[in-house]
Amino acid sequence: MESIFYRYRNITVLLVAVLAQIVLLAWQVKSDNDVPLVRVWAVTAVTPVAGAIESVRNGTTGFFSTYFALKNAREQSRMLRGEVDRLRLENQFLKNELTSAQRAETLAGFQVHTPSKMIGARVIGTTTGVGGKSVLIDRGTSSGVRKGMAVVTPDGIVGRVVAVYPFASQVLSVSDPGFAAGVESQKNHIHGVLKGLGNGSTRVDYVPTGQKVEVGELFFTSGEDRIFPKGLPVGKVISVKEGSNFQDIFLQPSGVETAPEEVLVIVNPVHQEIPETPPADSPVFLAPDVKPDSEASAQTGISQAGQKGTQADKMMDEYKKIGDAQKHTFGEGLPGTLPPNFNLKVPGVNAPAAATGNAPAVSKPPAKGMATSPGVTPAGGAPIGPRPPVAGSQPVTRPSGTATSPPAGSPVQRPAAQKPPLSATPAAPPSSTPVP
Amino acid sequence: MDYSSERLLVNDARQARRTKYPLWVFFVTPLLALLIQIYLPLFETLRFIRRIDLPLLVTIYFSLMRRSQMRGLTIGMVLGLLQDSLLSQKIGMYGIAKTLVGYLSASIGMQFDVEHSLVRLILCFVFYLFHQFLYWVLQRALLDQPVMFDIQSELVLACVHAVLGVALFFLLDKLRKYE
Repeated sequence: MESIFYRYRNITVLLVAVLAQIVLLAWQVKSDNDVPLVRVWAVTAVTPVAGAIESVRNGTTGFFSTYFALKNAREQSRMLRGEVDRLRLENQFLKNELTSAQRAETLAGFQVHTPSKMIGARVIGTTTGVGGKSVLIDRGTSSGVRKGMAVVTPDGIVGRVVAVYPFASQVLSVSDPGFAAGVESQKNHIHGVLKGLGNGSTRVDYVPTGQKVEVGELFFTSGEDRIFPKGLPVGKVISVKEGSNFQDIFLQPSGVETAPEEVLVIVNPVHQEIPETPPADSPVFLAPDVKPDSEASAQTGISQAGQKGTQADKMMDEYKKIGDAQKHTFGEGLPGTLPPNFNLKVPGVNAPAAATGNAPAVSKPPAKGMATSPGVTPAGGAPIGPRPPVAGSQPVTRPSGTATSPPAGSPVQRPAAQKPPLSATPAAPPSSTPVP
Repeated sequence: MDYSSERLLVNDARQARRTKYPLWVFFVTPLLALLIQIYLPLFETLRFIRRIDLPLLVTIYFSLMRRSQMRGLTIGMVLGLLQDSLLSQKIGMYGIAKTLVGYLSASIGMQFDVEHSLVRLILCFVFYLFHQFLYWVLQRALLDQPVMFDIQSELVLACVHAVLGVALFFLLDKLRKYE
């Protein structure tokens, strides 16, 4: 028996194993129960390893996903940085374009509101030397630019043309030591000569000691230099020093405070034709003389006292009004005839207007074309702004052939011999004031 | 050309020698087979592994190579019961099937040269079909489940298992040690 069992022990074990499992199955089916112990063993044996593998997988996957995410983020960051750089460049370009457009608009507006005929030009280079400064603009003889023409911006004068070429011109800056222009203060109409100092600043010379010039006061062109028409802003006084005979007045030029990129060349500041071929020995372009201030003053009803171009003009005007008040006609009396009483107080002339109210000089109808200097405070108290020049305040460009326009192509006259009498009518040739 | 490529049957007991393995192989290999069986199908792209019965191939391999019916049925029964436990079905279905497969594999392994790839291919094919048929019978007989035996898909899967078995056996051969 034992030998038989040993002989068939394998098949016996098999049968037992299978039978046991069948019984186990039958019990599970019959009782609808589970065998939790076997499952616990199996799950306990397998799940820790599965958990470890899953942790490793998660870690590896997380590592690689993080790596690729970072790589992607780096790539994205690089692309975005490039995009930001490109947009910055584009933004800068558009800002420059906008600024250029705004400058062009300002220049156009200035051209429209300024009676002088101007052409726009772009600064294309500088020729800076020791102590001097000039710039090159892209307008030359082909555009009608002539030597001596004024170059301005809406902020103020920039300089004058010192050399012209077919398609370019050289402009001497106001800050150059070789530059000079006639200027006039805003409040008291003190006249002087503006000169560059070579360091970006300018000085007003030939202002006698005692004449009142305040720091912060504006200076405008007086038109006496025959280059710049009257009324263009020049700059602001930054310091005033009293000297023995003349004051040292330093100006900060407003036209070159920031390096201008676009400028205006005044090709016809007044009603004056530019010579077709300037003389070889004197090729400097000269603008017509300024009109007498009486014209502008008459238009605005402002007292003429203190409105003249020079101190002598003011005194002559005052004496004439005093004579008119005494029914005196200058130049008619015989020798020995008593002169008028120049100490007589005439209201509105050398006495306050409110004293009598019938100042003959003031109530006189204003002459046609009388202009007011820009920036002058009128009798009404409202100050007139420095810019843009009001109508009539500057020599107005009129078409040639009018009564006030000289014949086309007529040579420019030197100012000294041209000054008309004070009673000059608008039909008379334009008067001029000698350049100090 | 070695003898295993020339003969399919063993002639004497000297040729039917038992293959020795390190002890850890008997634990790690079935465990890995179970892990692969339950873990990899979690991934969408590896869901087809659910159709591959790796514990069956491991049972066949060890039964064939050990040439011991007792060891074969033991390995088959343990792996089957573990598989039942992890698959949340009635415990004993795979246990019975794999017990019989292990016993029969060990019995046949004593008659054939199991080093031969063709023998391994055929045995894997046959035992897979036998395992599936037995499982189907148990399902219908013991659990009274109205399942169908799809012979076409089972034949295809048997071919797949045969090829996989040959490759797996080749890898597992690397772990054995000779006396």
